[in-house]
Order: sequence, then C-alpha cells, then structure tokens
Amino acid sequence: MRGELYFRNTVLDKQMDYSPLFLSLWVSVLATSIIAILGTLIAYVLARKRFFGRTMLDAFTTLPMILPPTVTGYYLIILLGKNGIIGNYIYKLTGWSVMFTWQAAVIAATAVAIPIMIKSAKAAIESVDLEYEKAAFTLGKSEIETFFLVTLPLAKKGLIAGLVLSFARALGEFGATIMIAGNIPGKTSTMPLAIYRAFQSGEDQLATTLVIILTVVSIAVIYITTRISRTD
Amino acid sequence: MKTKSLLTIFLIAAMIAAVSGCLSEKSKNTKPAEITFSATISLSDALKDMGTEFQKKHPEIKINFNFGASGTLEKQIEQGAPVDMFASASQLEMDSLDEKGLIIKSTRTNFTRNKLFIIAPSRLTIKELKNLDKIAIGDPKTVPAGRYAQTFMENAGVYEMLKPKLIFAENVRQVLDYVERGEVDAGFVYFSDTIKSNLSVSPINDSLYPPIVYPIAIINDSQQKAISQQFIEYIQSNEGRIIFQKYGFG
Amino acid sequence: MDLHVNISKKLTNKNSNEFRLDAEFKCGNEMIVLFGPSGAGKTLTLECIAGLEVPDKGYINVNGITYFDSEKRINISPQKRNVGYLFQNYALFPHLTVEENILFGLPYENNKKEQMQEMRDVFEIHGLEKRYPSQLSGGQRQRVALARALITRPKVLLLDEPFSSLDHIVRMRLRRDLKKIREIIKIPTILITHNPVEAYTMADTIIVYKHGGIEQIASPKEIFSKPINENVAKLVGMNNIFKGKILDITNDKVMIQSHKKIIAPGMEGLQIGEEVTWCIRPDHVMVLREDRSLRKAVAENIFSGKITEIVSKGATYLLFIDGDFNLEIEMPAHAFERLCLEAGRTIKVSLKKSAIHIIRVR
Repeated sequence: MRGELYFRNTVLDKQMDYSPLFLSLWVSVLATSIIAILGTLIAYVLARKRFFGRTMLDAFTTLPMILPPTVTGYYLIILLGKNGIIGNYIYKLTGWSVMFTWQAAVIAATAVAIPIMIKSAKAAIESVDLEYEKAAFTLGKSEIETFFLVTLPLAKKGLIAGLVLSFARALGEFGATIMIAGNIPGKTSTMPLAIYRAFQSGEDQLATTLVIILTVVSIAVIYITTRISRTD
Repeated sequence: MKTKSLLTIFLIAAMIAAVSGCLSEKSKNTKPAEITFSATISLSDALKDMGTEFQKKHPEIKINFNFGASGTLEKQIEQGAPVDMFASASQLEMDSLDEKGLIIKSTRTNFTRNKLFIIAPSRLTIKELKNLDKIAIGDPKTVPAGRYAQTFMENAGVYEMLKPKLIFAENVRQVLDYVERGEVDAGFVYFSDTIKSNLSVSPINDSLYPPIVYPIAIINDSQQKAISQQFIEYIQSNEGRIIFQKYGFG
Repeated sequence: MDLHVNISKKLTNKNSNEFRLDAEFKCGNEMIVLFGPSGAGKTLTLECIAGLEVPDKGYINVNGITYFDSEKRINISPQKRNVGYLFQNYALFPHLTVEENILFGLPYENNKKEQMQEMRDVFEIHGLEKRYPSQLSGGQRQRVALARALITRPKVLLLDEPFSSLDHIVRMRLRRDLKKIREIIKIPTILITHNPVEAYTMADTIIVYKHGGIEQIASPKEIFSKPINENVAKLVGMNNIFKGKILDITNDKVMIQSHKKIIAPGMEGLQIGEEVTWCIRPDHVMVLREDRSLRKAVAENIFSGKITEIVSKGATYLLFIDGDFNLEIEMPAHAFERLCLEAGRTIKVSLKKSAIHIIRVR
C-alpha cells in the first residue's frame, strides 16, 4: 500500500528529525500554562475591577490579536532584542539575550495567544452572577477564596474553551516566532517553521510528513479537550 | 443609525474600488510594457540602479524587481509565479529550474561574481570565531551565501565547533541586519553587502569555497521575452559592468 | 441587640444619572421591614449594612460594634461582619450540593456534623442534603438559603424580597417559618418587601422608603392608618386622597372644605385656613342601604355618587364612584352580593369620621 511505504520511508526514516514536534509541544504547553495563569488574572481584573486605565489595559491586551503576527514580532524585538528597551538591561546584567532562543518562541506564542484567552475568560467570568460572589463574601470568604471556590468552578467551561483556543493558536504560531526566535533547526524550529523551511528548500516529502503529524496532533488535542469539557 | 452610515461608507468604498479597477484595465493599453525580474537579494542595490538607468533610456519599458533568497525565488517560479527573468547567487537554483524545463536554456548566462567575507564590529580571524556567542549565516537550505559559508567552514575544519553558534537567516541581507543590530556577533556576507556598512570586514580564504558566479536566464512562460533579452544585454554591457563594480561585484 | 444606621451614598450610573440615598434608623431585636417602591434604595441600604457597598459617609453600628464610620475611617470587610444575607434570587451555589451550600460559611471546624443536624431539623430539609439547588422547589431553596445564612450565627439577618417569587401558600408557610426561627435565633432582622400585606403582617416596625430616603418610621398600625404624607398614603393603599382647607375647629373635630364639607377628627396644631390633605382607606368608606334609617353614629360625611366600575378581588369587591368625591370603595363580597349593586347606579356613602386621616401640607 502506498500509504505504508510512504510512512516507512519518511516517518520511520532514521534521519527524520522529530525535534520540531517536541519543540512545538514544549513551547505550546509552556505558553498555554503561562496564559492559564496570566490570562485568567488579567481577565478577572478586567471583568470585576474598576480602575483608572482599565480601557487601556483592555485595548493593549487585545492588540496582539488584531495586529498581524509579524508586527507583534517586530514590537517584541524592539522590547526584547539585544538593544531593546528591556532587552539591553537583561543583556547588561546577565550577558544573555532572548533572541534566537526557545524562550523567545514561548514569548512569541504567549503574546499572540493570550488575547484569545483574555477575551474568553473575561466573558466567562462576567457571566457568573455577581450575587454568588456577594453571597460568598457575606459568608466570610475572601476575594481570593471566592475566586477559587465560586467564580472559577462556575466559569470553568468558558475558561477551558479559551485555553484550548489559545493552545491551538500557540501551536500554529509562525510570524512573531520567526522574527524573534528565528528558524534554527533543533533550537527554535517549531512545526510551522519547520514546514515552511522544508517547503522552501524543496523538501516536499518532509514538509508533507510534518503537516500530517501536526494535523493529527492538533485533532487529538481538540478531541481530548472536547471530551473533558463534555463530561461535566 | 450607526449601521446605516457604516453600510453607506462600505458601499462607497466598494464602488471606488470597482471604478479604479476599471480605470486600470482601460489604461493598460497606454501603459509601458512591464517585466518582472526575480533576483537574489545581494543584487538589489546594483540592479535597482541599472533598472533606473535602463528605464530612462527606454521609457516605454517598466521593470518590477522581486528580491529574495535564491531558494525562495526558485520555489516561487516552480509554483508558477508570473516572472520573466531570474538571477541567482549560485548555479544550484538555476540548475533546478533547468531540470524542470522552466527556463529558456539558450538565454542562460553568467554575468557577475562575488566573494564571501566576515562582517563584525571588529576585525576577526577564523580562530577567533570560536570565542563568539552567535554567528549568522544564510539558511543553507535556501540561501546560497549560507551554503558557501557552511562549505567554507567545513573545509576550514571549524564547522563542528561553530555549528552550535550558528543562527540561520532568511537571506543574506538579514545576516547583515542581524550583525548591524547587534543580535549576533558576526556574520558571513558577500563583499557587495559590506560596501555600505560601517562595520569591520575580515577576508577569508577563497579557495575554501566554490567560486561565486551569478547566472541569469529568461523564464519559459515569459510574455516579454524580447524585452527581457534587452535588459540582459544591458546588464552585460559596459554601463552594467561599471555599476556592478561600483557595488562591489566582479 | 442593637442596630444603628445613619448613611449617605451617591451613585452615578452609565447614563450619568445620579441617585442619592440618605437613611437613618435605629432598631433593637425586632423585625424591621423596609417598605417602598423599587429603586428607592432599600437594597442599597441592606448592601451597605452587609459591607457589600460602602457609604460615602455615616456610620453603622451593630450590637455596639462599629462596622462603618466614615469619620473614624472604619470599614470592616463584609467577610468579617458576620451578617446573614438572603439575596433576592437566593444565590445558592449551583455547583455545590445543599449540604455543601449550607456548610459553606463555616470555618474549618470539627463540629460541622452537629451544626448541620441542627439546621436540618430547624429548617426541615431532611433528605435534601445531596441534591443540587436546581433540583429543589422554590420553597426548599428558600429554606436552604436561610439555613446557609443562619448557620454562622450572624449578628443580624438581612432578607431582600425573600418571598416575591413564591406562590401564595408557600409564602404563608415561609412567613410562619421565619417567625418561628426568630423565636429561636434572636437577632435584628431586616426584610425588604413592596407587598403591603407582607409588611403589615410581618413587621414590628416599618420603615417607608421613597426615592433615596426614608419617609416614615412607625409601627404597621400607625403607618397604615396615619401615613405621614401623600406618598406613604398611596403606598399603604389609602387611595382616597383629597386636598382641602380648615374651615372650623371645635373640641375634638375639625371641618374641612374640599369639594364639600368634611368632618374629621381633631389634630393638634391645626389652624383655621390651613391647607391640608386628607385621606381615607377604601375599606372605611361605607355604602349606605337605602331602606335602612341612618343611625346617628353613621350620619357623618354622607355623599352620593354613581358607580363607574366594579372589580372583584375574590374575597372583596372594589367599587369606583364618581360624585361629590371620586372614591374607591372596598367591601366584603358577601356585603356586595346583598346590595345587588351594578355600574350606573347612584349610591350614598358615608365616610366615617374617625377613619379620616389628615396630612399637614408643608
């Protein structure tokens, strides 16, 4: 069968480099973990708190979703490049620059995917009736306790949906990643970047193999998370 | 009320777009003949100058340049990009197009040369490279300059040692950019790329990499074969050669 | 047990509409009802007492403890105030069982089982512990909400329209339950309602709210028979309200000139020529039977009018008459049926002098 032969020659080929797959998973899982905490926190603040500069925070955290990823990548370079606004202090202090590292890939994935989580989480938290939180206060629970005991469980579905979408976005991130992390095989060449590189250099078989792997992994992730959220 | 005014603006914009589309259709008959030239990015400054001069002499001709890494451009042509001429920084890409029957063999010719250099904030020897943190070269898979650099390092016996420090760039101009911005400590570029830069240029043993020769050819599907040929002749003329020398080629 | 509230708060909503609340009252261990129309500030008052809203200035003292004092900059968080709060929609946590809901407010103590047992008995919720709020009836939810609020032994109990979404029978039962509970757990209780019957039957003291402030604080009897102004009069159902001028004052009665002359009970401080408003409840307007001779006691303030509308309220009937005065009359159904009245007929009515209430116009 053509399928088997094809698979044997590419996927099981000893020379096949699986590092893009592991790199992509590592970067996406890490980015999603950061987003889970940071995104939920920002969403809570935007949903429940009134303060000066609230609209600005809302607009600022939505920006990476609207800007083309390459533009976001450009701003990240201005911020974190060796001579960047923050980057140059880091370099002076530690002699280390984030450019062309897997950490940069994580930063790029986080930056482009976090607005998705914030939007989802904000809507989910707002949908929790304030009366529940007020009731928890009168029953002696602090704001943090109330968040974990009442708000979070009631907003669970929306939060999970947001995380799944964020993970998908992080997994497929290309534009900002290639700008700030480069496309260095074994180091920062995530799946989308590896596919691009293989395609560019005419390695169509490799490109196709990588595409199939990425598609299968993505479908598996969506399937698993849909099953989890449906068991409620 | 808001939706109404939005709708109105949208309709007006759509109408303007449609009308300007029509206008450009009409003026096609009175516009100059256009050719598209995909060329490796290291040729960009020299070719742009040549294009300007050529168009002064021939106002009825317009040349559109498409610069990029040789490998990237080759891929575009294979995918069917509507390009009239192609020039790469190595024979590999041209050979590939030739095998696929995409160029007019008789028009293929070599027209200039280049050399590889190290560019960095200060002068460097090959031995000193091992002390650096990051070195940029073009991605060997798609950028000839990167391939030349890798070949050079392999022949100089330093490739294994320098491999972990290598940062791949999309094209040779990006290598230059990385070095100038300080994101990397040094890079391998063509001599022609060092002309405008204030950074230090360090020579390398040119017997350790193949000669850098630029081929050019007309694409098989070109609709402007005659004009393309005219431009090729211009490039190879005295005028052309003077401009190449000015930019560090030859 | 003592509750002393004196607060002032200004709110600005999205449309830049301002709302200002000024409320002051004191109470002991009793059932206070905040009574008035929606949007008057009753819920806001409760939220300030609970600490869910912060007044702009003023103070709130409960049993000697200062919960809030703007001058001394004291503001105890709602978590530490230990108030029992019953929200309008009960706010039972949908993702927790009945048992988990009730035990929610208890700190991590060991005697949870005993406390749970006590609540179960008092509120009669046996067998419901493992159910979720969505599986309970309205009355059951109400009782669980009460249990949850009271298990923490709060210092004051606040109820925001607790019975409004329940049907009549359930409501009666819960009113009885609340009274029963108050005998066991003796704390000041504040209940919000816009139902006059509820206010009358449940309150020891009624506080009548108008838009942003308090109109009258008094016992139910006094509020319903001697409303302090026209607003309150309308709220308590004294729908026959008229303006007039004092014509004459004698020992214990006065004569008012409105459309016609009215004899009303005397009131201190009235002066001849003073402009007043007077009112009488629909159920104190008596329809006179034509064939019966008029007894002296009834022979006061007799007027005639034509019946324009008759409305049945089940146990009573409402009659609307146009005449010397346009009056609303309420009479028991049996009396109505005996009189065989119908729209278009002209009847004579008597306004009992002692039932007429005078409101001085400022």
